[in-house]
Amino acid sequence: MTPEESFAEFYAAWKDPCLRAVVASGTDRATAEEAVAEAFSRAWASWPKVSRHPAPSAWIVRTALNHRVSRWRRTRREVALTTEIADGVIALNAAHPERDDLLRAVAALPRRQREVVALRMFLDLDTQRTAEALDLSPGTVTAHLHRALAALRATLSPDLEACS
Amino acid sequence: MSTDLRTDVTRAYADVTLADPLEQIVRRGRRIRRARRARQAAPALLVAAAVAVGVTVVREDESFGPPGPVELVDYSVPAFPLSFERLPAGLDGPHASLDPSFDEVGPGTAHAGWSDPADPDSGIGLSVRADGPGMDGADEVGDAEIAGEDATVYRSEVSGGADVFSVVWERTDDQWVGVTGSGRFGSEAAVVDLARGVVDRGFAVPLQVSLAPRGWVVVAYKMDRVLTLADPAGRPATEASARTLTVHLPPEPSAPADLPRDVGATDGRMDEVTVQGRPGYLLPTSEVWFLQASLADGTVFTLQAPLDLTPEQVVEVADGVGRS
Repeated sequence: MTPEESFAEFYAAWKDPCLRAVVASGTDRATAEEAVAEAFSRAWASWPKVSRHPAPSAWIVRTALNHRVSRWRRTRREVALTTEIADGVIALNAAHPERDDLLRAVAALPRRQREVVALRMFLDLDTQRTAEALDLSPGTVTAHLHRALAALRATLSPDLEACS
Repeated sequence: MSTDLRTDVTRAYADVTLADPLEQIVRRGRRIRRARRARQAAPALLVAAAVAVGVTVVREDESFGPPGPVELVDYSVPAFPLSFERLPAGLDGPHASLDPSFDEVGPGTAHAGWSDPADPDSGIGLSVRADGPGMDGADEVGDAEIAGEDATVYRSEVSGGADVFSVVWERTDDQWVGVTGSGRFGSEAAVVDLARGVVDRGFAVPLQVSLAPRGWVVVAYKMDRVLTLADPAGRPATEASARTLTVHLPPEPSAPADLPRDVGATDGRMDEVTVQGRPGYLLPTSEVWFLQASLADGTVFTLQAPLDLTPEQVVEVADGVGRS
C-alpha cells in the first residue's frame, strides 16, 4: 500500500469519529471542523511519522484540541463556555429532540471528563492511550471516566438513580 | 464501559461528519510540508522558528516558579511584516496595532489600517495572524486565488454603514493574511486586487525599545501609544498575572507631584532619576515599578516593569525608549 493509499484509508475511517470526539470534548462544531481538518493536513505532512504512532486517531484529536482556534472564538468561549456548548447542543439536536438529554449531559460534564469520554467512546482508546493523548495519568483517566459515566447514567435513568 | 451507553452516545453524534474532501486535506498538508522544508533550508528562519517555539510552549496547567534574575540585552522591536506593493492614492497610514495572543506568550493578530481623510467611509486593512481565518459573523461570498493559494472572500454587515469585504488566505505556513476594504474599496474585486499586491515589505513599529529582558518578546502594540513585551516563562499577556513590561504615552500624564497618589506608590515613595538626560520619576507600587519620563521632543512616556528588575534596570530600559 502506498503512503497515499494508507492515508486515504485512514482519513476515510477516522475523519468522522475524530470530529465527533472533538465536538463531544466541548468544541463548537465550526471550530472543531476547522481544527480536525487542520490536524489531518498536518498528519499528511508528517505521515511517515504519524502512521507509526500507536494511535494515529488520538494524535489527530490531540492535535485538533491543541490547534489554535481564532482569537475571537477563543475569547467567546472563555466568556461564555456554558452558553456556547448549550447552543451547540441545541443546534445539533434541532432535528433529533429525543437525543437532547444525552447531548446536554455530555456537554455539561467538566472538560476533562468530556475529553476522556470522547476518546474512549469515539476512538475506542484504552485507558493507557487515552492517558497519553490527554497527558494525564491512567488513574486520573479512570477516575474521570467513572464520574462521567455515573453522571451520564443518571441522566439516562434518573428514576433508577434516585432509587439507588 | 456500558455498550448501551456507548451506542447511545455514538448514535447521538451520528450526524456530526467532516465534509472536507481528501484532496483538500492533502493539498493543505503538502503546503505545510513545503513550508517546513523551506524553513529547514533557511538557517536564519530556522533559528526564528526555534525561538518562536521556545516562547510559545506554555501549558495550561503548568505552574511557574519564582522568576530568576533579569538580564537586559539589546532588543529590536520586530517590524510589521507585510505591506502593499502600491498603496491607493489618498490614504493615510499605516496605523498599526498588535493584539496579544490569548493562548500563549506571543503575538496574536497584527493589524495595519489606512484611511482616507477626505472620505471617512473608505479605507483598507491588512491583518496577519498565525491561525485563521477567524471570520465569525461574516458571510462567505466568493473564492479567489492569491499568489497560487486558495482564498475566501467574505462580506460583513456594519451597523449604520456600508458592507465591508475581506479576503483571507494562508500565505505561507502559519501566516494567515486578511485584506479588508470599505467604502470605495468595499467590493470583492477591490479587496482581491489589493490582496494580490501584498508584499514582504514590513514597516517599523512606531514605539521602540532598545533594551529588554533576555528572551522577552513583543506581544502587543497600539500605534505610537503603547508597546508591551512579555516574559515567555509567564502567563499570556491577556491574563492579569502575566509578567509584562509596558511603555505608554499617556494623553494626559500626571504632574510629578501627583504621581505617588495617582499610581499608588508604596509608602508614597518616589525617586528622582535621570532618563535620556532628562528628569524622570521612579515609583515602586505593590505590583510593578512605575517610571515617568520624557522623550527628546518633550512627549511624556511611562514604563511599567516587574518588581524583580532592579531600579537601575528600569532606568536602563527607559533610556532605550524611542519612536521610529
